[in-house]
Amino acid sequence: MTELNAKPEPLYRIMLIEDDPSYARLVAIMLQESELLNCSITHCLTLAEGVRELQQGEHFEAVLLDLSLPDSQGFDTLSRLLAHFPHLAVIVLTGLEDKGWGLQAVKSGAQDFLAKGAFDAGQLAKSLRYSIERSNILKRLEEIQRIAHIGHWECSPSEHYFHASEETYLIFGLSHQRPFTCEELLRPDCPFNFFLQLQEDACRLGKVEKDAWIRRSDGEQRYVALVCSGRKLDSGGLLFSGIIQDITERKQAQELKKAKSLAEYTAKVREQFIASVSHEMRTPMNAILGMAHLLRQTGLDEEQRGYVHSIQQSSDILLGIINDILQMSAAQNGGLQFEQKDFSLQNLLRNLYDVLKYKAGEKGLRFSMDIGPGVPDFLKGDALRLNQILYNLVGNAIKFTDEGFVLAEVQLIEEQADRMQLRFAVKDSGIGIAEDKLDAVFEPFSRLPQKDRIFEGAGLGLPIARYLVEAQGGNIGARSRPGEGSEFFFSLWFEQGAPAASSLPALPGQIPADASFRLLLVEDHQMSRLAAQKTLEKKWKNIDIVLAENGEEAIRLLKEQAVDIILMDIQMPVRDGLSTARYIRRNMPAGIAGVPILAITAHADKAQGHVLKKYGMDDYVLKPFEPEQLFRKIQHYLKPTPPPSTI
Amino acid sequence: MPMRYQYINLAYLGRMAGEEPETRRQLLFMLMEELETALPAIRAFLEQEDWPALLGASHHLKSTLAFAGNAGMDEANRCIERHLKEEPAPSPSFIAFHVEALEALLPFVLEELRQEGQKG
Repeated sequence: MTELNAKPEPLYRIMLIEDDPSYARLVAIMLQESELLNCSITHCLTLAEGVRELQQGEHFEAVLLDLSLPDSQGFDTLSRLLAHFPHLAVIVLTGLEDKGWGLQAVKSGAQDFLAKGAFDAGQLAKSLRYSIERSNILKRLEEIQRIAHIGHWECSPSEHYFHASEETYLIFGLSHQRPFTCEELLRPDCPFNFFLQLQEDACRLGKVEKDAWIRRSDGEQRYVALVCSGRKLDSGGLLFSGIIQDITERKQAQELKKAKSLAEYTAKVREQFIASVSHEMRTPMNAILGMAHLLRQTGLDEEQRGYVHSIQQSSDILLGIINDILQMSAAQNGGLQFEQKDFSLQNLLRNLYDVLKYKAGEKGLRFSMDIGPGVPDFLKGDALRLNQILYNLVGNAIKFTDEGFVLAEVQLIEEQADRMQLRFAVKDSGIGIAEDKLDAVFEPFSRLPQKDRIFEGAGLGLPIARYLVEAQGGNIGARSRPGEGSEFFFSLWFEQGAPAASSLPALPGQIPADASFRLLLVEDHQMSRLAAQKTLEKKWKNIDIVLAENGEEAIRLLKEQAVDIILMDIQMPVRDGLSTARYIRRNMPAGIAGVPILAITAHADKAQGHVLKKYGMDDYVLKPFEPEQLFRKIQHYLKPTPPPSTI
Repeated sequence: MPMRYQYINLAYLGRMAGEEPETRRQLLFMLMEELETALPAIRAFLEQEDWPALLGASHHLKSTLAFAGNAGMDEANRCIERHLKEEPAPSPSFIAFHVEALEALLPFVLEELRQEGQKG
């Protein structure tokens, strides 16, 4: 029966270099008898014959080498063989009286030694097997070192010993054929000289691990990881062993990643800066517009009215640009959310028409809208974003058309069981765009140069429209010819909608400033807790705020006293908000289990609302919250009751 | 005339304190204390590569930073939190980069907070 997952046993090829044919025959019989090793034997009578055989490229897993041969005697036999084949697995056969040679042979690179007459078939097979396995492991290790650019070295200054692996030399761009001696290592110009510094450090610290730059023989700088440790010898000296790995590529990748994240970080901060500056500009711009409007109502002469009109027009343009920048910044940061709500398409288009008809009228353009057959009135989707896309496209059409018409139309192009695809198109008889420039108009800040004309705007209307369409899974495009007008079109999927009864549940009445109610505030963040407490106390003079730092404390307090509403942080030590809410809903008495729970969370993710509801929370306020936001939510959920009593 | 600051924006802190100088002062000192202790903790968690603890500290810091109003620190902290939430194997060097940004901005923020605190 075959053992499961047993390693397949190959036929090992063994060379026996032995001048005594009878002894060679004995060894062959011993190995044939052994169950430990499946092997074939090639017998050579002299060292020269063995070397010749090996040089012919025949592969042997191991060599059994008699040290006393007609053409070579003693330890020299091994040295000569290893000089030709340094990676050969050699087991030395010695006479009983020559065991000293055997020991010396092992120290010089032989895998093992066996004294003739003192071993049996089992010992011989075991020795061969171990040698072959060890030799294979060493070969694999060498291969790994080559692939991973890892070298190793050993050095004992007191014993005048130094050895470095082939890969160590390669890392330095040197040839292994010309190995350094320990004495050469001491020379300051020796590339391996800095191993001495590592040895000194290892003496002090036991083990050294560090990364460093080295210079190869061809001048190239490489980054290496170094490990060095030392151990005591019987002689009192030390033997140091070290590992060196070329990690230049890894280091470069790290540097690149760092540079990339720095660049991304800088871009983000810059975007934020632009967004924040734009935001700050919007408030004064609104004020300028408002004041200009008021100024026009005062007694002005015609010239003054003209100046105010110019202020209003320029402010309008500037405000439009600021809004576009803010919108683009939100889009680029993935900050836009899309709603799925019922709305009337007819109402949306009517409102859009009302808003833009004056602009078109000022230029004497025919502006019309057309709703194709089968387009339902009620849709489900994001009405606000659809309005924005159409506003940008129609606004652009009016801007770039001096005479003729602007037409916005919508057609039903595909209908499925639960949804439909609509195609919106805005056509104009304006200046048109060359075909090779059409793609560019959807790029941010691209404004096609026009002869003798400068059109206001930052060039963000179309990029914003494209983002809004594509983010909803739609397509947008354009066709146009210079002087023949343009058509911008997009398609979007909508679900069938229903007439919206009322988009929001009726808001309960305002809670009077002197209302008495008890609120449990569960928040581990000290500042947020204090800020919320002070804000609420300022709004409602008779509010009784009970404070808890975590969910466990909240549950304990709820067992002692009733409350009217709970404000709860989500991420807290000891017990988080989610498990606390679930516990309250499932395990507390009915009077407490039904209390409204509002999450206050810094997890700025609207999708989290569903998760919060799953755990029994009624709603949430995003941190950092504005006082008015918090008040509105509390007013929405609080059912004022007579002053709470202790349970 | 109110002082103009380069590194802090106390508008949110002011709104949350209402018009109560005592609450404002209290929040201001709490803010300085929180910032002074939060960053060494974050650095220690980074060095220990204790990602759950670092995520907790970064989340906590988010609420604190809202009161300081420094966009750079906000952004650096947001990067750390997002990275720890989204990466199954967080990159110490990426996080270290943003922690360094936090540490670099902190002294300027603290200095201006101290100036504000000294106004009484």
